[in-house]
Amino acid sequence: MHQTSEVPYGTLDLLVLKTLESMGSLHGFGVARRIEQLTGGGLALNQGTIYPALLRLEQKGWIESEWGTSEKGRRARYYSITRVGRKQLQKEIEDWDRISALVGKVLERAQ
Amino acid sequence: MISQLRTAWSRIGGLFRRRALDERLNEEIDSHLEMLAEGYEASGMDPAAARQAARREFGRIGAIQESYRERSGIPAVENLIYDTRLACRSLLRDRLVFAVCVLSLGLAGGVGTAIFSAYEAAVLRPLPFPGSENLVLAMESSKAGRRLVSLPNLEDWRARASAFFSLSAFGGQTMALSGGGKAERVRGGFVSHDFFQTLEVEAAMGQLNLQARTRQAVISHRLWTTYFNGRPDIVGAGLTLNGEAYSVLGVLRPGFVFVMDDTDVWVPVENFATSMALARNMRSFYVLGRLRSGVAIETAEAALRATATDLAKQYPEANGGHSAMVMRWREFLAEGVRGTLRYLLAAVGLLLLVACANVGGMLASRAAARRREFALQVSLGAQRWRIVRQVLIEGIAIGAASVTAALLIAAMTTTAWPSILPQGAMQAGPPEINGPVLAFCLTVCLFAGLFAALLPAFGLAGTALGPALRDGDSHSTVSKAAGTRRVFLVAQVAASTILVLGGAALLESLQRLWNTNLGIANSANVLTMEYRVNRAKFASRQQQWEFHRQVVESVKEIPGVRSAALARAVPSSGNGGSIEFRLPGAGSEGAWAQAVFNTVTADYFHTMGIPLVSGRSCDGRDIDGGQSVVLVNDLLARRLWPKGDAIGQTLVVKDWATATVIGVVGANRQNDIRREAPAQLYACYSQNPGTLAAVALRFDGDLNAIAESAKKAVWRVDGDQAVWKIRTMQSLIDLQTRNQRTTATLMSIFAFFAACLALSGVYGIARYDAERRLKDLGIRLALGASRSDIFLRSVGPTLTLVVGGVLAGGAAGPLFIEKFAAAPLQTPLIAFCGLALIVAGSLAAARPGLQALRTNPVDVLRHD
Repeated sequence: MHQTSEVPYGTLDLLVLKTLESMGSLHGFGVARRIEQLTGGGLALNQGTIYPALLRLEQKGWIESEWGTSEKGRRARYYSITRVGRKQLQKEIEDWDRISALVGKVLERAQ
Repeated sequence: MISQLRTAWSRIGGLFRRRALDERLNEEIDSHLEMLAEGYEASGMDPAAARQAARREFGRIGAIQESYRERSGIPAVENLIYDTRLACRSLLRDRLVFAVCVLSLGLAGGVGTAIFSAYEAAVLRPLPFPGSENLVLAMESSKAGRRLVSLPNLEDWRARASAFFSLSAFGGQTMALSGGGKAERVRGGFVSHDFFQTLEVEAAMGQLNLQARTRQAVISHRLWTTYFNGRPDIVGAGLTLNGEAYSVLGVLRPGFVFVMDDTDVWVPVENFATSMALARNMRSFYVLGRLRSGVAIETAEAALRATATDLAKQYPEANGGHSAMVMRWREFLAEGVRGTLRYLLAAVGLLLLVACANVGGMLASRAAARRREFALQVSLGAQRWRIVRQVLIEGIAIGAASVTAALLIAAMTTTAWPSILPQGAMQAGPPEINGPVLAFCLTVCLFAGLFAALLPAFGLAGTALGPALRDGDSHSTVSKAAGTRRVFLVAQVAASTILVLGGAALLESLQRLWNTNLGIANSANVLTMEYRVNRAKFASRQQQWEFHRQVVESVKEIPGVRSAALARAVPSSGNGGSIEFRLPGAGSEGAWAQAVFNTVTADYFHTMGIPLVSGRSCDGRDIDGGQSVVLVNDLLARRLWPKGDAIGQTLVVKDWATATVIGVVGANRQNDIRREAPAQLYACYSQNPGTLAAVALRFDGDLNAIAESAKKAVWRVDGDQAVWKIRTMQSLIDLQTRNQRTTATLMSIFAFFAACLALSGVYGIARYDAERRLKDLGIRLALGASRSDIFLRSVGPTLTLVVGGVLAGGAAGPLFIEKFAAAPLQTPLIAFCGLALIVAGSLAAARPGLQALRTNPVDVLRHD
């Protein structure tokens, strides 16, 4: 049995943005599956929680959405990252790197 | 920052796209689940297990929907909208209750708004002059109260009054205007040269700074457009006033109003009717002052008092015993109506309380009836305060709906104010629905609605829910709501008792007024009209008397006129004044007393129906230059000569003569029919002619025909003579009691509404009690209790509340009346009103009890 972690607060947005940046337009199910694939199931993600996150990002103007048709001919809403979203992603990644580096330092020292 | 704004914006947008957003999410969830399930099916699961696995993986749909919804809109606002919709729907379900609630509050709120609009216009609204808060009225004062100011005293005040920017005299008198063809009577203002500077008004044309002792005139915009047809060369044009030539200095701005809105000509004060008016002891003018900014009114008054004290020492003959007083001009204007309006506002407050209690009572029993509904909501997870909120929102909804009703009522009634309020009270404009009035209406109605809803709402908040769900009766909600209703009922009955007593007190004082002997017989058959002799044409006393004498003769010849006479001042006309007199002889020099003074011709007493007690009236013997004579009223005669030997005695009349008493007549309420008759002195026209006269004639037949003939009779003596104020004595008296009548009418209406509301409240609670006790009654009846016993049991508690309310109101009523109304209430009337209310209350309470008795006990028991 492999270990799973809770999604840390606020990182879901980052994951969603990153996924959309690299994959282009995706529906909610696609985003959730992609995140699971990339983490190898290491994150305990209730797939439904992706939807409030998508709404939040859309409200901020970082992603946009439109109705489309899936590969199997099903109606689904497709999300894609906006220009503002890309910039924001860049910023968030930098923040993430900085903070995780800082946290890493603290943890090293404490050892 | 920008992303936060975008979020806020899209959330607000979400409020209006609620359904679309919900549908979008549901659709997304559906397709997501299907995709998941497909994956599981592909790995070999059967469809049902696949769907289950998909759901497990997706997480709790409800929680996600909720979190999505919280994010997509503004939950607090959405809840509010939802609750409001719920409240409105629930109110509309009980349309009758809703309508009655809105009507009660709307009526009380509307009447309150209407009265407040008058209060706002008469008391609160600033006058339309710059810096009007600095305008004051300055007057002389004596033991008898406020007195007008004489011009020489005003000169001395001015010389020493540093607290005032200016002090200007003003007075009014009707003047004959001619020159433009037909002789016309206009109201003239006699003012100091700087009067318009004191008011700080601007001229529409020309200028307004009159020069003292000149024949300059400032005219109203109306006179310019009507009498002068708006001629452009008006400044400098000539006009004839009282036969003297004046020139127009300037035209006032349109809509300029000062005290009387029909004053058309303003001339320097020195042109006032008689030269006597310029003497130090002739107090003929009001004084309008403008305080220097920053000077307190008390300081100004103290300074003026000091000056007046000096003047009293300097001129003991004219100024002895006189001081001065200063009050705000606004307050002076509102003096007559402020008290009444406050009384009415207080009464409306009570009416509103009754209406609130009624609405509160209705909402309380409605809430009690809905206890199951609420309990169900709570058990399904609704927070209690949201239920309270829902009830409060109902209150606000009722309040908001009643605002509409109130404004409708107020808008209809404000148009009536200008004919009710005296002109002086409307200097800042007539009552209207403006900002402050609107704010008052909104506040009062919403607050009343909220207040009415509040108490029953809190009664519900603490409800024990289990029992409410378990069964329908005998638990805390019902008893709490009923308890609240009982408190309301007592308050309601008490408040309406106070209103009924207040209305009764006013009606009683009005009744007393009608019943008192006004001293004038059959006043509807006495016609009066005024004229002022043209002094330029009839300069000497002899000529003036001759004119007056001819007028009387001419009027007497009219068919239908039984008798006719002249008087300087007919009763209740606002004309006339008082005079000082003393008994002759050593030792009484300082002892001046005051009496109301009038000048009359021979048949005056006969015409008015004032009895001649002893002696004779004026006649041909009393010639100018002969022995001066006076008549006194019986009040004064009894006081001065208790032995009844008044005829032939002498009196020293200040500034006139030592006069012999020739007759004693009945007393009448000369100046104000609301006050007891004063001491009165009469002189004869033949010895005291003057220019102003009022014709009084007693007639039979058609009023209009007689009035027409009377005018013609005057014109037979002089075709240029203007005649005005043609009216009956009855209408003069009515005019003086108008304020009382309006107040009494309004109070009676309030009392009636309040009593109706209270009685409906009594009936409501009695019926409610009777229904609740039905089962109890059924058992008792089945067990053989007597019907009368049961009846008493069912009616007793309600009746106790009614009696309690009436007693409380009866105790508080006289305090209320004493605080606001002039006339105290007599004990028998209090008792009568109280009893009437108790009887009405018992009838309202007994009806449901009787109905309950008629029911068959078996039916009742089977029912539950």
